[in-house]
Amino acid sequence: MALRRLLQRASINQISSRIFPAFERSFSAAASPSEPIRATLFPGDGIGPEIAESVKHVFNAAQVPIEWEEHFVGDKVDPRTESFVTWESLESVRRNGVGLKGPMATPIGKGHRSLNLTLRKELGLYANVRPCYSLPGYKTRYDDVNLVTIRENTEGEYSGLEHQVVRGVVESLKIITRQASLRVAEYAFHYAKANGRQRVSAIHKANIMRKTDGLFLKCCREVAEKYPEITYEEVIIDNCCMMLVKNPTLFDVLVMPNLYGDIISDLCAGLIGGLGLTPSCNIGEGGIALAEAVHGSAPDIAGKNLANPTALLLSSVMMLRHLKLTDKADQIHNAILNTISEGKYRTVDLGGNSSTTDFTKAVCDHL
Amino acid sequence: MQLVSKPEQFDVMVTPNLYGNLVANTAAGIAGGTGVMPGGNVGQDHAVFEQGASAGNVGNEKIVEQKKANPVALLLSSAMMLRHLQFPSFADRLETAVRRVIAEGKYRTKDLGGSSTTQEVVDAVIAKLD
Repeated sequence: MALRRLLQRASINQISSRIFPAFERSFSAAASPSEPIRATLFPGDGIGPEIAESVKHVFNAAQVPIEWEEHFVGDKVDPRTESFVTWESLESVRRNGVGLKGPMATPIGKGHRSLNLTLRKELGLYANVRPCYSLPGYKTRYDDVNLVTIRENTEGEYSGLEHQVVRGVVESLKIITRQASLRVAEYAFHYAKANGRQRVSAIHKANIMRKTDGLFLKCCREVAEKYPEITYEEVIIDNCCMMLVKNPTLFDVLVMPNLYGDIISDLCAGLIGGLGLTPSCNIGEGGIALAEAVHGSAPDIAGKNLANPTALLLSSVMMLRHLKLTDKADQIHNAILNTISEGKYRTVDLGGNSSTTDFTKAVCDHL
Repeated sequence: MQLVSKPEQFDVMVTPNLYGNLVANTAAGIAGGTGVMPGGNVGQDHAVFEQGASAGNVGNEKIVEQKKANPVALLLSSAMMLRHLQFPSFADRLETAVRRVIAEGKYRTKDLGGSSTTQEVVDAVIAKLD
């Protein structure tokens, strides 16, 4: 049984990574309740291992049917991947279809690609999804934030095509393709429908960049027609920035190309309290999902039991939702929200003085 | 993200074109909206002063008809122009008057939460000039 599923999933990944299926694309892997699901775990560096332990504890306490396959980033460059991430690690994610990643610090030096870039390119992670909502009980200057940013993650302004024209003049190419834009727009609308969101806003600067952002908008419009029940609007990026800081409740789901997505998703993280509280999930071809904590590895507090595991915990909840384990996801999600809103156990970065283990125990107790 | 959570850490920001557009509009949103943010464009030989951030206060027919646009941004931009022309005392007088009107809170246009017309705000500024 397990062997057949292994072969099935391997062949799906193979097919979808070669040709672009005109038929239904799989966006999430359904879970069979009988056997545990294997998921790859990259604890990462710095505070990574500690917060990964938190996730494992909470999952055990909630009896989530997940079996972790831990992979660590090596200290030697693997020639097959040109990076410190080994081929085995990548194959593990491809095989399992889901993963959870802690913060990774890319070692300085030449001769290898950045870790995040490796994962993104090899696994074809095309959409970065970040839900941002105000955590009850943790007050920031902005209340009632409840939006999701979906960022195209493979092209756009970050295509890496820069060159010198003459001395003192450098040129960078922004690439927008129909294929990538359609792909991310499809995911955005699918996500909105699956999660009961009402509105999708495409963020652009097509008044200035008529061809590139214009193509992106055209693709979004095409997909919007297939989902008449979801309101679709287009907002210019500067307007969007201003509206986000004046009235963030105006937004629901935002879909945008790479650069704007980078900026807006971090802006929204700032609205709710920073990267330490923001979950994130990367969606790849064939329904691969790699949830990750987007904060840094904080080497200065590593090993001191001070780290805040909230971001990684919330990301693991996103992973569970992707696997359609909605009850477990809701259970853990509510436990986290209740712990934070109660205010008794808060880590140092949130103004409290609990340790990582205390906070984790409080979440387990709230389950 | 830093701008949104802790704007007080920034003083002067110099940016390339696109980022500057985004940062200016974000900052305008934090500081009260595009209706109050002044700005200027400086070139080799000339300078043109206008509103600092463009989103939202370009206006629509309704605002034009009801004459409810916020003049503060352009007034403060003209103060910047006076400073550029080396008339600091005039610039100071204009800015102080505008600040007093806003602080008093009696004459505010819709985007600042009030219901005054453009003319009322301007008259108030003139009244507060010393």
